[in-house]
Amino acid sequence: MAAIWEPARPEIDTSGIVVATPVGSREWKAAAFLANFLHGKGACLVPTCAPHQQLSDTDTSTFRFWCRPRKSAIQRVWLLTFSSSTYGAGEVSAPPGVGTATVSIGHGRATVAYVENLSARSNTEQEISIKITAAESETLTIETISCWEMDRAILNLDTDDYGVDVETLSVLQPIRDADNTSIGGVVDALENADARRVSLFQWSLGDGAITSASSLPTAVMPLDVPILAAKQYRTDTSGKVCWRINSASPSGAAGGFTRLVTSNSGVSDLLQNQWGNSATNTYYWGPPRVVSVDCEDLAEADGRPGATWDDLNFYINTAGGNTVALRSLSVYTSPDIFDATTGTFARAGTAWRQFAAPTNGSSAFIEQVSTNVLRTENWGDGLGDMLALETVSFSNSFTNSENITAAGGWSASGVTLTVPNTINTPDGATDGTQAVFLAGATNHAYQTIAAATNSQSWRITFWAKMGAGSGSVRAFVRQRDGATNVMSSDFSLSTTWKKCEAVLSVGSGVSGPRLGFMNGSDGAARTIHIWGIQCALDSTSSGARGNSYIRTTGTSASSVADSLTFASGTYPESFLTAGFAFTHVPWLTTAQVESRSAGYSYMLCGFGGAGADYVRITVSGVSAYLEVVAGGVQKVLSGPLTGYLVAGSPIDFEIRPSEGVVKVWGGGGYLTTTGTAWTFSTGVMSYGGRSAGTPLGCGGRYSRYIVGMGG
Amino acid sequence: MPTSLHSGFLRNGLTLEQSMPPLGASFARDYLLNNLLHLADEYGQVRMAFSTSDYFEPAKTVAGNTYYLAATSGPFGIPLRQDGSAYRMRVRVGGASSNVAGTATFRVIVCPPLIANTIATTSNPGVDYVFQASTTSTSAAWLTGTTLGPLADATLITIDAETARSWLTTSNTLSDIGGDPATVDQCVVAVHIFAKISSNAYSPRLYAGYAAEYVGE
Repeated sequence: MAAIWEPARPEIDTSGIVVATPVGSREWKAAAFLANFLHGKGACLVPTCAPHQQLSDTDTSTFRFWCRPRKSAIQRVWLLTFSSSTYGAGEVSAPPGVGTATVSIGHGRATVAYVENLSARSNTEQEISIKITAAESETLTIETISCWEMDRAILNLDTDDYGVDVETLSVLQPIRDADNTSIGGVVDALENADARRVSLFQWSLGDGAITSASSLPTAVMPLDVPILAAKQYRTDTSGKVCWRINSASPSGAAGGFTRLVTSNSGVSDLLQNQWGNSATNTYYWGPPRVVSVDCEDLAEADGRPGATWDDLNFYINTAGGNTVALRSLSVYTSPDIFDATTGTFARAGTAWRQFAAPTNGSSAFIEQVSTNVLRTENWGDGLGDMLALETVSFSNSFTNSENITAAGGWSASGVTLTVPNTINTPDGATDGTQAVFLAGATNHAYQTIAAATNSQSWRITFWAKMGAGSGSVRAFVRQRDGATNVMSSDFSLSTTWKKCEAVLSVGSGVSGPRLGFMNGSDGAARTIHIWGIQCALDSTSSGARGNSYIRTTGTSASSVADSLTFASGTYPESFLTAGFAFTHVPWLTTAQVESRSAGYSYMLCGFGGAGADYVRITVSGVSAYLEVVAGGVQKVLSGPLTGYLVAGSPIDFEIRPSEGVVKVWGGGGYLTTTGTAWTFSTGVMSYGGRSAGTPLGCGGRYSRYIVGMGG
Repeated sequence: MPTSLHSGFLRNGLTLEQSMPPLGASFARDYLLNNLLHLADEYGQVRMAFSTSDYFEPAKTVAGNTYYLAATSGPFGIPLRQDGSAYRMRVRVGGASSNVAGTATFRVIVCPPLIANTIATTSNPGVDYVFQASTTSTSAAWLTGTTLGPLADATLITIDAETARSWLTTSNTLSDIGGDPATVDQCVVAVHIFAKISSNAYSPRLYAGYAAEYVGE
């Protein structure tokens, strides 16, 4: 028996439901009807968009949209408005190459409906598309496209539809905890309801594209378009939505930037590393990004918070000397946007985080956080909330990292070091060091690092800015032979704080090496401000290196490793099968990973708690790869990640176990690899490392939100 | 106004078994029923959202001061509330005139396709499922207007129960994937945007449209 679906949603009078009084059949029956309404009413996959694309004489164009449909849908209704100045004809096909229907319109404008019968139910994230072909010698203009799921006539009494047999809630029927019947059916229907506002915005130019060769951002649309998410909880003022783009850049490498900007909710979210190759007509969907936009205020007559529209637009640009091409933009919802800050976090010590973009000292942008407090960072660089995760400990071997003076144990040559207590520092204090360089390119300040042994590489980092104007400074090592100076490239400075970072070799010999900073290569006399200097062994075996800042005073100090885990049942179970996507900002480049010791790898995430299921970047031979291992068996090994890892830049991963697929977007472009399908082990999930076994992660920033792919 | 008790989801760690016996009234009311009602309150779909530099103009020559259909969503089944009225719809229209000497007027009409043209050409339809806004500016902008019924609302389209009932129709579908033919009752409407200009020497330019369902008061 199938469940009844009605076009009008019932309301339920809850005023008579009081403690110690049975809930009546009338209320239960209304609840069953409402549950059936939620499962049976179709959702909108493509709100009407306006591609305005003209096709002539057998031209074809495929319009692509990204969303996460609902599992209850069995048909999609595509609605296309065409116009023609004379007479137009053609064919539509959805999915492309499967079903087809002919289009024939007269002079003017006409809407054509095409029903796509689905071959299987699916609620995984996917592209939905429709192909349109103009008939020979005919011209068609595709003005608008819409697509929605057809309402269900009846719902099955199964775990796909979660229909509730309404009659089992009639008076005198027994109360049962059973599938699709009685109260148990209502509970199941609620807990599996997917009554989402599926798509908030869709935009496609079919096989056409808009392009930009400018380094200045260009708005995609002339008017910003309203966006309003559904409210989840009573006090929510915003809702999380995903966005993806379909784009290319001619070089096939990372060359473009797309930024989503909203008005009232203040989003400015940047997608870097646009890929593909528009010269060869190769376009790809990018990784999912997650943003928070205004949600409905149910106390307002029209739902707009404060009677204000929250509007969105997209801006595209390039790094210069390149062209970016954009075909589709999709803003959609997902029930599996997982907030990684909800995990169990452990770190038995304090640590520093950068929570905002660097300033000239007018306000703080880094701070110390306490033991067992996760470092959520938003650097203001358009990447949104990220988590700093470092699962390997390292040491700052400089003493007095903030008192960079002779009294703090620093030696100097051709530079005067003082702390005037007037220099605002990145942590909001006023104890920055003033370094007054005399003219001379080799003037420097240093400490001798006895812990450095022959042939090691050491990472030197510090915050620096000019006292006035512009200039430069370098990191510096006098090697263990006691004579050879090696320097980094110049770090260009302004009056805004900048983090300077370089890896330099200490060479070989018997002397203690000097590590520190040196005047810019132009040798000009200048005054710089400096704060928070650090040097750490750049280990080629464990992955330990100087990532985030460690404050020191009279002695060197070490960081404490982070651990972020999620117990079984606290993260979406679909991660194990359908998969997930996340962003990582590494501290290392691919070349730096490849230069590590044989067998070096670093873990991105792990499952099952036994150390046998994980996703990692691993070195094999002379190249680095993305590898997935499940049950101790390799399932996928990607192609070489040459150029994909760029220190401080995002690399995105999408892991799809049931398809045996991994996707990588990074500095090298876009890479997808298909191996053997797998299922991750149930149990604890770890992020930024794995929960057992070594080596663990090497550190970096990880996206706060992990997007589930469905299931 | 929300129909749920708490204007949002309520978290509940209890399973059905833990809440019985007997089934707790608060579990039923505050968790089960509240959450079902909230899901339905926030079900509203976005039906139209576009903004294009390639503005819509008449596909063929139209007489001055005559409405023509500039854009449409195509028909869909709008959800109905318990009282039989449709979910409200937040609408917005963005447009311009090709010349400041011409007044461009836009009507957003949410109704069945077959009657849209008749309503568009009625000088004062007096209903709240028609939203109207005008401009003489040649720059694209979201326009300020109101519905043409007694509510004269600045954003919300309203379709009352009697009207919605008269628009109920039966649509063909299937019973399941690859299943038998079946029918479903729907209140079928489309979001139509009509435009006109005071003189046919100029053109109205439709740049943007937005329509989203909202449970409403």
